[in-house]
Amino acid sequence: MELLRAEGITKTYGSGEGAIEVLHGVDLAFAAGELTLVMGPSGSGKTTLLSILGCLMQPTSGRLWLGEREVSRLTERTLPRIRRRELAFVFQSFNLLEALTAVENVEVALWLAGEDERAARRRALALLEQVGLGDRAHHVPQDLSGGQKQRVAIARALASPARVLLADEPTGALDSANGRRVMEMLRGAAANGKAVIAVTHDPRVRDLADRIVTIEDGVIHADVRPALLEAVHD
Amino acid sequence: MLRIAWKNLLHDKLKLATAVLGVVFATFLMTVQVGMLLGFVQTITGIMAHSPGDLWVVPANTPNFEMVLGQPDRRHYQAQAVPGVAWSSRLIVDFTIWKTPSGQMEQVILVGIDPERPVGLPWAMEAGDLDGIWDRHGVVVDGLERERLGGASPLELGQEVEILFHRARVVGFSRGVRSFTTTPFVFTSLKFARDYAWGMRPDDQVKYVVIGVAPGHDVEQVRGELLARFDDAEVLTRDEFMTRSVVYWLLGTGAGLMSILAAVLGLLVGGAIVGQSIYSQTMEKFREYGTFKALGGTNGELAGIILGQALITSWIGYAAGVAASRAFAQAFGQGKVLIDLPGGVLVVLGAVTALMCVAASLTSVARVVRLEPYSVFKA
Repeated sequence: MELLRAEGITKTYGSGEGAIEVLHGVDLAFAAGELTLVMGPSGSGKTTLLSILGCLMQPTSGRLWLGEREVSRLTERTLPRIRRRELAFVFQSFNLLEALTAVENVEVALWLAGEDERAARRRALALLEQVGLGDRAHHVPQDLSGGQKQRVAIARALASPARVLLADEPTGALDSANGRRVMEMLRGAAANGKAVIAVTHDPRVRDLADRIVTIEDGVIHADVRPALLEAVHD
Repeated sequence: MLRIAWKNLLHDKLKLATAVLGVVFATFLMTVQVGMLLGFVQTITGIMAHSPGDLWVVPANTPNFEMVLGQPDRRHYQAQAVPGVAWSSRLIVDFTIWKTPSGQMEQVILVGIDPERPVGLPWAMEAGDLDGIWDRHGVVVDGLERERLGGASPLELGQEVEILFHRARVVGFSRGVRSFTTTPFVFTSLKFARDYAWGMRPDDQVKYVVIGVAPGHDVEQVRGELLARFDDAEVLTRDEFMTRSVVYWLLGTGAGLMSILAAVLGLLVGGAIVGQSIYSQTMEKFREYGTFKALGGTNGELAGIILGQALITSWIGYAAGVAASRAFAQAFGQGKVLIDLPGGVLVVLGAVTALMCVAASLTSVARVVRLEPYSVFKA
């Protein structure tokens, strides 16, 4: 089932002679149950694309659909409701709220989704157990390692009712073992029916992807499904 | 959101302490200055406010309660003939010289009270017997002045002193009856006041004639009747005379303006400290606020977190500031400066402090509202 679709997305920064177009008519669709890696060199437009797909930035032109709803022209008044219920994020530098404990960081997503405090606490603790951090639930981020912080961030993303999960370099600040573990969790989220879109430079995690989109100079350069390729080669 | 605000504050205790100190400073300065201002008003109006009577016949252009020329004593009797006047009472207020038992001179304000219908009595007694002022040479002074008027040692009940070359005997000590000029009040009967008063040599002079209007009679009408009978006199209601005295001392001398300026200065300095502290907290957490927006937090919720921080800071700081100013008022309340901090005023000042903190955090709120959520992707 298609959850997110981009049609002819362009993005231009600046105006007049200094204007720079970083995305040139991107068409992509993302389905439930798939882990898509968006790869490409620095400056290729990956992060801009992710910002637009996550409704954090408006495209200059083109349309973005979340399910049946076009969201590319919604205002900042309407967008928070879309972000809290239909989109979840995992960031390269974790972006946890430093004053809150691990469990409270996960609870934030649940509070924003409208869950009451008691239910939010139960679910947040269960999610931390699920990512192997049950014993670190009441620690603040500064007491956690990088891998643990990213797992808290994943628990926070999983806490959201969103079916689209966007991750920006989720393994970028982690060693290979922790990076692998995080990607396996994202893989698990996809297996549970979410559309997971991860921007990454990390070639070590390619094997976990259902689909790899390569972007260069703001244009989709390749869009492949490794499993299909392997089947063809076999 | 209040929970996040609270956690954010606790996360950086040094910044919280700085902001709270700012509010404590502002609160202390504000409440003490406003308390002093209210104390001044109470001190200036004390005797009038605690006296019966509807109208005061005063010599024309009398600026305040203490600074008054004489007027004919007969007005007391003439007033009683005016329709609607239930009673009339004479009062003498005059500066004079007190000689302590050890021989030092002190200036005092003599209050001579009419025994037939006493007006101007001290309203609280610490020791002795107020009725003693009707006896020969009996005077009452305030307990706060025992040391000043005692000279070498504090005044004792029954002690004999000298007022303008006449013998006087201390028959009681009032409690908390201060004058704005800090010159001590000395209460005695009208008869002896004429002996003791510096400017009251003729026996047919008084300073004030205080009128009680009979029930059912119109005060304005009685005032008109009195004015028609007396030349070079004003007839003021008690409130008018109190207001005139307050305006004279607080605005005329600049004392009130200084108190108000100090209170505003406290508010501004406190506001600047709180604003700076909350702004720096906000800037430190700018990225987190971007994350919060990316997760679906609204501008309203973000503003709620920042304003929540400001309000929590103001509550903690205000409570500590009020405790400090109350302790200060308690310590100084025993002295010659009255610091009056009634509950209603504290509620108003609490609201002012909260507003100050909210205003100080508005720059931070404006920055966060303009924050683009995609900024979270910037490394």
